[in-house]
Formats: sequence, structure tokens, C-alpha cells
Amino acid sequence: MVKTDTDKLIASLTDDLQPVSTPLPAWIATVGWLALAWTWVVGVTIALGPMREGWLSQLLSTPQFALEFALGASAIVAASYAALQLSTPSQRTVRRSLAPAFALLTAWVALLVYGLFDPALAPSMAGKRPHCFVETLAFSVVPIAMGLVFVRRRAALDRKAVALLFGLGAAAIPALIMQAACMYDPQHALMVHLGPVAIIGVLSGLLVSRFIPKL
Amino acid sequence: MLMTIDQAYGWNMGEGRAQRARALAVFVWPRAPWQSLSAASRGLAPLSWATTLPLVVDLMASIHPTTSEAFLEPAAPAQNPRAARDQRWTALMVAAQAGDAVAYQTLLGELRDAISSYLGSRFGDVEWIDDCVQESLLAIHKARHTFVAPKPIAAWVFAIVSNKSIDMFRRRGAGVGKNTEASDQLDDREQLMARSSESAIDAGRALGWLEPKYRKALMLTKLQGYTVEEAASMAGVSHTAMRTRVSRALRMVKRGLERDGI
Repeated sequence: MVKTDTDKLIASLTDDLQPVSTPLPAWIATVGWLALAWTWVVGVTIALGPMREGWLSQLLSTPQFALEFALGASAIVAASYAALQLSTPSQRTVRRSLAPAFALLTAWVALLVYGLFDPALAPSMAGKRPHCFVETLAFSVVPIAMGLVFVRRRAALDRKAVALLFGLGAAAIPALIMQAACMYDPQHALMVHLGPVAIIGVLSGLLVSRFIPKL
Repeated sequence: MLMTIDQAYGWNMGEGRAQRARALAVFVWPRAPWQSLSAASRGLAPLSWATTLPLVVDLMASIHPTTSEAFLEPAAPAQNPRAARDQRWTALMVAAQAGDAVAYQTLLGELRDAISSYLGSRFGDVEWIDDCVQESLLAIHKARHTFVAPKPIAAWVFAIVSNKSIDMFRRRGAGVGKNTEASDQLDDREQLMARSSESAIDAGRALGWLEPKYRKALMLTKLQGYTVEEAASMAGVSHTAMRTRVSRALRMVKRGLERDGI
């Protein structure tokens, strides 16, 4: 019987086959990435400047501010979980994976836009950090790099989507922390804290995706 | 004598995964309502952790020394051929992940036929099917560690195949139109077009979910080998519009394949 190229390929793939171990489940990897990324961002934020005075009591006593925080945190979790889920082949479509993270991010932005008219806290310059825009951009670099480590043993079919989600999640962490570490003003938050989230998301989708192994 | 779970609960326990799953269910949730009812109806006390644990350990140890062997064991007959196929593929993949070359060779052989038939039914008798099958097998090999039983293996496999077929479409468009001045390549292209025009009829059926203008754009550029400029003049639209149509058509095919499933 004549061996076709495909038969030869199969023979070469099965020759000297080694056992393989499966990567961490997506939710465990998500918890790991979140723990490391949050530790890094909180640590470096505190190291470079104090948190805003009274932020914790504001968080506990102002439901709208707490909701802003909860939406931001949920968006981060959704983005990172979707990124890790998409980094292995499955029937789940990219659109379906992106939807929860984008919905939560949109809700977060919408609540801040609402805050322009009815702010959660009285807008104030108290606690302003002079370089919060640059800090938000810079602090997200390490979490993105951590994300690359987490996906290196996976097999992403849509690398751009994975990188976009990691970029959004990574930049949203410092953006959220800045809500407690920098001055409170919805306009400032939208432009200076959440602006970098969009920038990093797009840059990550375009550039960082090249560092994700192609299947 | 250690009483087995079959005896205690009256299950008709064979040597399959369903039975093991039930045994594990008892282990995880020893006082499940149906067990209590079932046991009570036969005058038996519901099992507790203390009585269940040794039973489960005994049962598992007596049947399966390793997980991969457990999956390789003939399972209970599946409800339908597709479910039976998925069960078999899952068992073979789990064994392959453990380093079983024979199981892996069997799996890849079955996947080759399944992928070929999948692509044939969707794109017609196009000449790049063999290439796409090979690329898909290579990708499956590279990603084999990412499959986790008991997730549906067919979804995992055909997500990779869909992705590779779209890649192939894109690359064909990029490759066919280049250096068309060279006469030998022109000859090749003529042959390619002659073959493709027949297969395009089949492909048109497989790409039936596209609007006519998108289907035409895809067929002209990706199946019949015309450049974007030639296709644009044939369709009577601008070069940019044709490029946009091709790009949108590819996205639609991708979404269609994702929706289509297996």
C-alpha cells in the first residue's frame, strides 16, 4: 500500500511520543494571575505614593462608589478568565467570550459617566497623584507579562483576542486602584484612569499578541 | 466480606464509566435523596462517608490501576454513533496524553478521515483539503496537552480545524495573486482555475450561508484564484470594495463554521 503524505505525517507525530501534562484549568490560572497582578499593582502603587485618605470608609459608606469598584473588579475578573479560557481550543466563540468582559467594562464606564451628573463622592483634588496617567500605563506592563507566562503552555486559536483581554484586564487593575489612590472625580477617572485601559487594550491586541505562541 | 455498592444499592453495575461516576457520586454525596429512597425501599440504611469510602476505594482500585487505562476500557455502548465516536476519541486522546503511541496513531488516523470529510462537506472538492488536514493534525499534535477529559473532544478538535481552514483560505488569497507575470505560474494558475471552477459549485453549496455578493467575492479570489483587482473588475466594484467583501466573507465563514459546530 502506498503511504500518503498524511500517513507519513501521522507516523512522524506518533514516533517517540512523550507523555504530556495538561495546563492549569482556566479558573485556577485566573486566580493565580489575579493574585500576582493585584499584589504587584497594589504594592507598587503604595510604594510610589500614599492611598487617598479615607478611601476605605468612602467605599464602605457610599453604595455608588462601592458599585463602581465592584463593576471594575468584576470586569477585571471577567476579562482575565475569558483570556485564559480562549487560550485553549474550545467550541466557545470569541464573541461569546468577549461579551461578559466588555459588558462589565461598559457598565463601569456608564456608571462613571452617570457620575458626571450625580457623582458618588464630592469631586475633590484631595489625594491627587501627579503622574497617575503614566502610572496606570506603566503598572499594567508587568501583569501583561505575567499573562504571557500563564498562556505560554496553552494553545490560543485567536491570539489577538487573548492579548486584548489580557491588556484590558491588566490595565483595569491600576485604573481601579487609582480610584482609591488618586483624587476622586468621574471626569478625571474616565480620562486619566480608564483612558489607559483602552490604549493598553488596543496596543496589547496588536503587539503583545505576537508573543503568544501560534498554534 | 466487603459489600459492594451494587449489592447495597441494587445497581446493575458493569465495568463502565457511568457506574464509576455513580460510585463517585455516592462518595461525594453519600446521602443523595434518590439513594436514601432507593435504599430505604429495600430496608437498607443510607450509606454514610464511613461506609462509602472503603467501598469506593475498593471498587476503584479493583478496576482501574490508572486513569488512562480506565478510559481505554470498553465503555457502555453509547446512545448514538456520534457519542460512541466521541467516547472512543476521548479514550484514545487520554491514552495518547499518557504516551501511548498506538492509541495516538489510531486517533490521528480516525481524525484524518473525519477532518477530510468535514472539510469536504463544507468547502467541496477543493485541492487544498489534504494540506488543511495535515495542518490540522499538526495543530492537534501541538495542542494535545490542552484537551481535558471529559470535555467534548469533537468541539476541541473542530475548533482547531475551523481555525486552520480559515487560515488556509486567507493564505490562498495571499499566495495565488502574487507574481502572476511569470508564465509557469500562469500555467499552474490556469490548471488551478479549471479545477477550482468545478469544485466551486460544490463550495458554493457549502458556503450557502453567505450573501451572493460575498460568496462571489470569496469564490473569485480564494477558490478560482483571481487577484482582488481582477475580481473587482469582474464584479464591477472598486478594488477597496472587493477587498472589504472578501474580508467580511471570511469573517462570515469563520462565524458560520463556529455556529455550524460538528
